[in-house]
Amino acid sequence: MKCRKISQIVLLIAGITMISYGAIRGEASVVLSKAIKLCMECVGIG
Amino acid sequence: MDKGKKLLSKKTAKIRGWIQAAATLLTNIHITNLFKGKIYQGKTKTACVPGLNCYSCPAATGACPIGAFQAVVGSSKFKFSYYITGFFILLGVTLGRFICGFLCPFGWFQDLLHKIPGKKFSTAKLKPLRYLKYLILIVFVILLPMVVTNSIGMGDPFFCKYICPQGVLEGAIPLSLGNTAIRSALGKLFSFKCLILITVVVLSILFYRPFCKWICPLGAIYSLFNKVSFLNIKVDNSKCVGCNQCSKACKMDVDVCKTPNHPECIRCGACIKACPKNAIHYQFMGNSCEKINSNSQRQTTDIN
Amino acid sequence: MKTKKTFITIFTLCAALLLTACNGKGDANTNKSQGTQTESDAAAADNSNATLEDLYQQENQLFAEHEDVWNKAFGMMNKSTADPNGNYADYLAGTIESNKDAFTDDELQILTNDIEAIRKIEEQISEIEKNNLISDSDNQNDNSEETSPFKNFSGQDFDGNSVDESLFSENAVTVINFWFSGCKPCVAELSKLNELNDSIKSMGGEVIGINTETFDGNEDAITEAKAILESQGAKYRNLSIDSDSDAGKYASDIMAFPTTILVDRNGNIVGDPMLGGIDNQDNYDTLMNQIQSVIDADSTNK
Repeated sequence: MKCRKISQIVLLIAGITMISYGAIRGEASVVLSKAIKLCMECVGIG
Repeated sequence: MDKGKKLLSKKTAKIRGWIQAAATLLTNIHITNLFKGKIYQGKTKTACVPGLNCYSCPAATGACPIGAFQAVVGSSKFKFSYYITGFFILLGVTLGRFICGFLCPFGWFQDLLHKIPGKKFSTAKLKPLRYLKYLILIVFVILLPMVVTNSIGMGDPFFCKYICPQGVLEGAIPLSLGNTAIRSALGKLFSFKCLILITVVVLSILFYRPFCKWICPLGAIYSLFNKVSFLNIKVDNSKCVGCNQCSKACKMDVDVCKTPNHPECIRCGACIKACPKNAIHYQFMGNSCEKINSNSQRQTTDIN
Repeated sequence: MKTKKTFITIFTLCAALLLTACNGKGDANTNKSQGTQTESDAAAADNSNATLEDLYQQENQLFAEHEDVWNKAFGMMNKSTADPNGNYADYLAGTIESNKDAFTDDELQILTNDIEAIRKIEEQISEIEKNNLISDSDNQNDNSEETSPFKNFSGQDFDGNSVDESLFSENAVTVINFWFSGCKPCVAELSKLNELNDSIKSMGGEVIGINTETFDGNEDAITEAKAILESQGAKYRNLSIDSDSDAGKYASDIMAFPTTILVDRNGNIVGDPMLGGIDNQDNYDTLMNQIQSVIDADSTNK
């Protein structure tokens, strides 16, 4: 049970850290630029 | 206190359909765009929605996590996405496959299809197919976009491009209805994916949630967190009489009494509704330290 | 009870959020008002057409009333003296004058009266026709402005040289390709576009690329785009345009990529935008056919 609690907290912290790191790295802007422009082949049109 | 929690679990399970509808609406809030044939281009698309919802849907509020993962991995600048993986981990550890059961629009779509009357088949004998979704996750979502790149390191989003039926249902079809230019651009790829969508629709009428069980890579990811998620299902051993009604009610082929946090459990609550003794309930952030009842031998334990 | 309350709050929240999404309705309204404007123009044209018909009817009535006299007069008319720009009544008066002797006094009286009436009718007709011409040319101007966001075109190519709408007047046809750096099929067609540029250069055409991330001289985006173009061997001109110009707004509205449009010498868009990579043979052939027709139209106009 304790093992479970520890892994939960570790994962929670890892998740938040990775999100922040990724956002700083510039991944968030790549996501945005891909999400607001439709690359047609990428969604299966064409 | 206990009774209140159990009744709340039952109530939540009962209104699951409404919660799914609300989640689908919130995930696709820009409904006016559907008639204009344009996609939403605001800043909220930097964040991902929890369920499988294509960003090419005109009404979509945010980005699809699987699509976004492939976009970052397939871009020339990055080979791995910390942003999206962190997102998977965060959602996985908080909600796990509760997202599949309550918040995913495509899950709701399959649920609605399954309500269409007709002969229903059980998937109990098709358990090995469950591993297919992990294969699809590893090959189409992670490896291929990373490895199969052009001269400048750009990769295709293989799952989105060749497999995902949600993209056809929410993106290609509404866009081609509202936008003549896109309609003229439909070709062989679209026909192939339409075929996949039709297959999934037919299978969803015959089986329960075949896409979630066998194909969805997002479900595959969240399933890895079911055992450690904050939101999980607890069976009260002191109340359980071993009638097995829960396992019979479970459409994901999970043995609820033994393994309520099995990776395949989508937290739909069918077992909670079916239990005659109200022994099963949702639990958020553990209350794993329960009071020992007067029958001191019986303790409530977290069954993992 | 509690769940019902939470329910209602959730639903009202959703409804409130829906209202925020209803900004789109504003655009629909402006489109409607534009539509009604062109409708009223058409209605006015219809009205003037009806009046013209009425007037011609009146003239014919006059001729019919005094048919015999007028037939005699028509028989004497000399077409070679007809002045098409002058008032028809003057022409009639001239004919009658030169053949005065052939008519009796009564007939002359009738003819002169009719000619006066006709003079007035002709004046009205020429008024209406003048107005029609003006509104027609207005409409034409409006239409060409509506369909051409490239009227006040300005931008810079990736080497820093400025360009404006004279770019279009130099070419019989300009192929404008919209792309963005994260779009793999867009990048895949760049080398094919370079080929296209080489082959239509001799015919008076040019391929121009516009990367929709490079607006307003965005340095990082331009560097990235340059690198991509180089790696694909695309040597044709690529432009960075201002996002608040008409062309910039048109390009920002595009959300399906890659998109290719054809622009003629006057800066007007010809035909519908083509979606999809032209590295696909069918798309390439369609595009070449369209280019050919624009070039042909251009050479006949010359």
